[in-house]
Amino acid sequence: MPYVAAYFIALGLAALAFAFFGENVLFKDGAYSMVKVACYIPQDNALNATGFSLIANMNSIENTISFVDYDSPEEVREAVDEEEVVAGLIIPEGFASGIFSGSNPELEVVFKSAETFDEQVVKDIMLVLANDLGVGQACTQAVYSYCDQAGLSYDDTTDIADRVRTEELGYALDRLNIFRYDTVDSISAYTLTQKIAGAALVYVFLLSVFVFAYFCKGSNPAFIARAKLSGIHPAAFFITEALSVTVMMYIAFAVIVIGLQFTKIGISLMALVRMLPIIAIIAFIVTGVSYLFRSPVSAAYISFAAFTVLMYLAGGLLPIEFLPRFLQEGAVYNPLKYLIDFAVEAMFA
Amino acid sequence: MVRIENVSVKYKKTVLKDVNIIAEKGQCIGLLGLNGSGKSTLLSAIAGIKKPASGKITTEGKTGFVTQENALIDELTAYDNILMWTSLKKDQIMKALAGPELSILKVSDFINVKVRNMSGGMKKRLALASVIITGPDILLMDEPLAALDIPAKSDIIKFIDAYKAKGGIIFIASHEAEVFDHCDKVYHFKDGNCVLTDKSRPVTEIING
Repeated sequence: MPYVAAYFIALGLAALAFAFFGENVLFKDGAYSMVKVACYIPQDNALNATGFSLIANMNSIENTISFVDYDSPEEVREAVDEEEVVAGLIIPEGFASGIFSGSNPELEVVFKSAETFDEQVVKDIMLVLANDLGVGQACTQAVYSYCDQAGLSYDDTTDIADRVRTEELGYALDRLNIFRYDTVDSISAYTLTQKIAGAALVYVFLLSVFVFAYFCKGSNPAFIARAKLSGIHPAAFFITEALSVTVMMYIAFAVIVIGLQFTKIGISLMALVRMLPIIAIIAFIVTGVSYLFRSPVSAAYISFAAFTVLMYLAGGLLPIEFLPRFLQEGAVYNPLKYLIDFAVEAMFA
Repeated sequence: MVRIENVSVKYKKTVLKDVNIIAEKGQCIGLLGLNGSGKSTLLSAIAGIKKPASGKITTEGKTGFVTQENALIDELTAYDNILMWTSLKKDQIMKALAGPELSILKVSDFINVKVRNMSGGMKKRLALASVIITGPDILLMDEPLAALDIPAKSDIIKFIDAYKAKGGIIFIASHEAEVFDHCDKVYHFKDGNCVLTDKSRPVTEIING
């Protein structure tokens, strides 16, 4: 027990530290990612370009998206299809006049599946951007509708519309904090912190093979021989040891859960119930690995290498969105990915 | 009785070829040979752990196996290690340890000592006691005297004599000459073959001959 306790205390503290400070490692101040977005801005009205430049110069857009002009909507769609760009924004012909006439023209936002972290960010920004243009559209419509009802002249109407655009819409569209993903205030970053905490926990428990391999006797032929002669089936031996490992892991997990109550990670106490089957699965894996290798040293080294690689490919060490696309696609075949997802769901749902 | 008839055992190659041994009650059978000659394999086959590729092994009664590597848990005491393999209560265990055979092993003297604090001799005595306390009729011992000091060897040899006298059957795989003086038959293992040999000859002569 002292060795088991020491292991879990040491690695549990390391996992807690990473969960606390991991955001500083992952999200550097001022970090940005430039992705390409295709756009089509029709030349039928100068307001299209004016409105677009309002959006494109927003603080978070400026540092994230590089807009590439295309000559037609078809070219934009083709560029997205061929993955030359991450997404496309198409302003239809007659958009500006449509706003003033009240016919509710719609922007078209085109994107394929968002898999990498950059693509996820762009997808979210594009949706916000489209909404903001909708806000602008609604405000302008409201102005013209009011002016029309008030019977104002054309000059007074355009004067009011200009002031709305400059003062009201300028405020709405010039917000600086649409997308701050360098603090845990943003939902994306918080979700990521939860995933880091869950993955770290799974990793710590899997690596406990370093400790349990020395105590599991299933790899010792003398024990197996003795068990057989005593009428104990080797499977019963294995199950007994695996259940013992489960109990010890669960005790360590309970201590970690109580410790996490004092952090901003906010793990639910119900996790003590929901995590039980996952801890049992991990315990059986650890015991199985200890049985596979006769030498505890071999068990420790080989499982460290295997679990670390599998954790990386499952997005447990770095968010999966950071991995190359082909590795993300391979992650669906990685059992650790599902174990991490189940653990996160059990702890934070 | 133990009857081994034309038993062959294979791993990747044939380790034992056509072994024939009969052991009656009260007999001690010595198995002599170099490392890797198949002695431990035969013991595993008798215990039913390793299935022979051909032939037949018939045993009457319960078998106990004291392996070369002890099946002991370092973090537990001698008492707990014995308790692990038997359903006897504490007073029954202490009474058995004080009995005519097990008292020779003197396990009662260190019954509360943890295995990691024991010497090699103490561990071997404990391993033997934890097997004997289950009451086997056939005892298989793989290198019981290896790495033991003279007093420990003497106690184990005394135990072997006491066990034989009680009517038990013992199979001992060993390199130690003094063991074979207490064996009724000695078989020499070489190149997978098992041959009954003259136990009065020196061990080195048997192995080199």
